[in-house]
Amino acid sequence: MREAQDGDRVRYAELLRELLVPLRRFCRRRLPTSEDAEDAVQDILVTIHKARATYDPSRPFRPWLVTIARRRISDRLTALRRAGYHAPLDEASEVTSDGDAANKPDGVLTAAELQAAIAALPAAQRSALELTKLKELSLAEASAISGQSIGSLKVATHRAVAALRRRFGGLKE
Amino acid sequence: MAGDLDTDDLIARLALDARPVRRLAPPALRATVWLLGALAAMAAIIAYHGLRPGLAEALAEPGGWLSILAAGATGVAATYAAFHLAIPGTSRGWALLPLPVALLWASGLGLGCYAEWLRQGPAGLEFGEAFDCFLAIVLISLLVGLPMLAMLRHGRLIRPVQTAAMGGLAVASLASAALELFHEGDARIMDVIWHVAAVMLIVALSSGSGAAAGRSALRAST
Repeated sequence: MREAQDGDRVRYAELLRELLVPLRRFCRRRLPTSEDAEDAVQDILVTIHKARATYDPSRPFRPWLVTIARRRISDRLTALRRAGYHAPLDEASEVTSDGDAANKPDGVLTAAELQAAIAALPAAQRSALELTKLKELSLAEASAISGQSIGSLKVATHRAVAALRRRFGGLKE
Repeated sequence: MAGDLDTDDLIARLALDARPVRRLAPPALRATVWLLGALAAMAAIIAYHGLRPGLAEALAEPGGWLSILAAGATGVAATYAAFHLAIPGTSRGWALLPLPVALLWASGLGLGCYAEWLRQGPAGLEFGEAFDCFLAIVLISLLVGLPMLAMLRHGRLIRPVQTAAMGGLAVASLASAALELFHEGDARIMDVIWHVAAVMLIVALSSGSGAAAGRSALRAST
């Protein structure tokens, strides 16, 4: 980034290309479709470009990048909500029935890995995740089947997603 | 927004546009530079007007110095917060920095109003010269706020509203502190109300313009 600030176009293009894979993964986890994620990635690249003078080479690059990425993803989610999209839970959309296929392009997650990770979750979290995400039932239906309250289902699903995210790493603040 | 542009093409266009940029100085240094400039401007205004008559007596009253000191401290804290919030990678916790002194300031104003109410009753609520305070705070805020706006322009890319609101709080509370030193108020409740109204107006205006700047931040892109 220091070289980019100094106007080294070649190194700058290299840097942006290197960022593509982690940024796509970061966005894909937080946005419903890969098209939305790609739009967010482009917004993030434009923001990096416009904000490049604000980067201080004596400080770590990652927090700088993550602030920008989170901001543009949040903008994209706001735009989606305005257009009628409702995320069932905050940032929970990364685990869907086609979670494996959705993660495939990054080459970071295989179906077996995901299944193993889900199997390793505590029973309450696993059942909440399976009912609300994998079988795509509504919270009310899932509540009726599992006997858990809607509130505890939400908490369990959120914790399950958080646990999976921790397990598979990626860009974190 | 980048529209339907291919991401690889976008990278190529961004790289082509990558002129050398001057790195920003650390936020604390930039905040200090702005503060020195703003204090110099306010000192010049105070020197032009002269300190208000009766200032020494007012300061000698219990808590008399409190509102000036608390307003000034709120302004300083909000300045450092705004310059840090404008930079990606800094903690959002900076927004909390002015909170303790702002609360102290607000409680001092509240107590002052209560004491005046006990002393003067509804007479303190008459619409007097206090509106001048309001105008003066707004004008001083604009005077020192415009250079700050230019210095904080990067904040529109990531935290437009927080940065602008914090900047607005900084200029308005410093202006309010300065005003107490030179403007001849008659210590009525209405004075306090106009001070608070001016600060709130400046914070609201700056937050609104921050939100608008944030929405258009990417529109005029490559």
